Amino acid sequence: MSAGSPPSQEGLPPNVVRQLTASADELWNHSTEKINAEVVALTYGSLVANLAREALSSGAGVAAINTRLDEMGYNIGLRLADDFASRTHSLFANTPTRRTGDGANSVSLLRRCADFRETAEIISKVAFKMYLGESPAITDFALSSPADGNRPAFSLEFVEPPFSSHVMLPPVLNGRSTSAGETGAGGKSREDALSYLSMIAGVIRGALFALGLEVITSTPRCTLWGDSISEIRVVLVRKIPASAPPSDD
Amino acid sequence: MSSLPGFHLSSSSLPPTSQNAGAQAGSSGDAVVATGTMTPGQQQPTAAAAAQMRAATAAVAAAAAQPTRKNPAQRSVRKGPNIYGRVSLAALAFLFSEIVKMANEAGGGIEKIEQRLFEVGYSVGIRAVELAYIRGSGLGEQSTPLLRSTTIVEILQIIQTVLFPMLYGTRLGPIERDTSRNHYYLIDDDPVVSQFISVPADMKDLNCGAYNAGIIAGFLERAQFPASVSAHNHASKDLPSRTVYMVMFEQSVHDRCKRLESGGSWSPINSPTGQ
Repeated sequence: MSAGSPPSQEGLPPNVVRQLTASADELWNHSTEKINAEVVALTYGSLVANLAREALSSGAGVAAINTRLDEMGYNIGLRLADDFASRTHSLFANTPTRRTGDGANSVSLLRRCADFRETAEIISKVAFKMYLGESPAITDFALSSPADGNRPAFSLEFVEPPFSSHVMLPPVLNGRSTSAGETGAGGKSREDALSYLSMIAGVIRGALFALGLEVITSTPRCTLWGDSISEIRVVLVRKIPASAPPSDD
Repeated sequence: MSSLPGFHLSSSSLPPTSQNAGAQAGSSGDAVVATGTMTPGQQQPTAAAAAQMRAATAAVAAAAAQPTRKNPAQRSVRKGPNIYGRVSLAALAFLFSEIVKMANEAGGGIEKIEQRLFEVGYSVGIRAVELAYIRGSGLGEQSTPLLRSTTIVEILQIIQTVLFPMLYGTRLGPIERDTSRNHYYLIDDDPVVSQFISVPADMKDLNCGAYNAGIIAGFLERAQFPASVSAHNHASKDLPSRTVYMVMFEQSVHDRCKRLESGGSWSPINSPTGQ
């Protein structure tokens, strides 16, 4: 992928993807301390259960739970960006991308991603693999997606979403207690349903923010709502100019 | 739901509509495990593990893609942790740090924070009972069922040798007992969750072991050994985060154990107060 090549809709060249996947596998197998996935699933489930109990008893509503989970994910994402960069800086030392002008092996992944498609690939194949052991499929990638305001966007699809291994949602959190029983036809998250993947969506949002991309994330589909897959949609709003001070308080 | 075959809670008790899906997933999952063990010499261990996990993922994906979707609550857990994968320790670290942060923001004072951690751990513990007994039975052809514990020492040993290894991969130290006050102590040399938290100086009494104490308390509650559990820091020179979980069983538990020892029954039949 030489500097100056136009961003391609077809994605990264297959040899780069293979190299990324192989390096990510190696990081996962050799350098990552692993723990039983169920303990994280149980912990996350307890956290969601506690949040839900509080929100419902205080009348705050389901949307408040989703927002809270997203905020927590955002905070995690801000720190996860540093952790990710420190684990993978050797990974990007040899990939054929533009080198920065100062020649430093800096760990800003943005400068090494030529386009948003590469960002999506790295999130899916490297980051998810390293932290959660599996990489979701990238679907619905568009450099200018009409449904998302003509902005670059992609979806991450999970057939078996992380942390959801033993989870069912009660009707009050499922969005089915109201008379509208239709499943959401893609697009917006359902307002009255608990979005179990909100935290992961928030992590993506926070990590990309720390690396200079402002994105909007949403969870249009979720297996816990009866859909066949779970989906996180990531829409690029803008690149944050490097000179602007960080805007979080 | 009306035609579940019998009451035996085996992994094959699926509703008839999704039995094909279940059998398919079961057989392909077993085939994957068998393949992994039959060719150890030919492949690198890491490649075999990765291939096994990918195939397991594919098997789960195939099962999930069936038109009649299996109820996640009925999915078999017998295949062990591998089919649901392992995640990075960092995932737990980040999640736990957010939980502690949330507990910190919610209320003032160390006790309140510990109480909130305890509650989250309690939710984990009550769900971990069934998993612990299934996992503790062992996997594969020689699985002997782990029988339900009826004495205090047995249940504490389950916590020591099954629950904590399942959750964190580490065993707890030997069980100690204070006979004068009927307290039991479980010793954790290096709690995994305490590694992620750095405590500021003005909060140095905060013990994130409260989370583990909650797990133990929830576990005991659901295993029918209600107890109050608390975490105490007993740092030694080379183990600065050594934590001791003090378990105080309720009087009903002690009464029941005495009753069982003298040949009586599990529940007090002729007792005026009942269970």
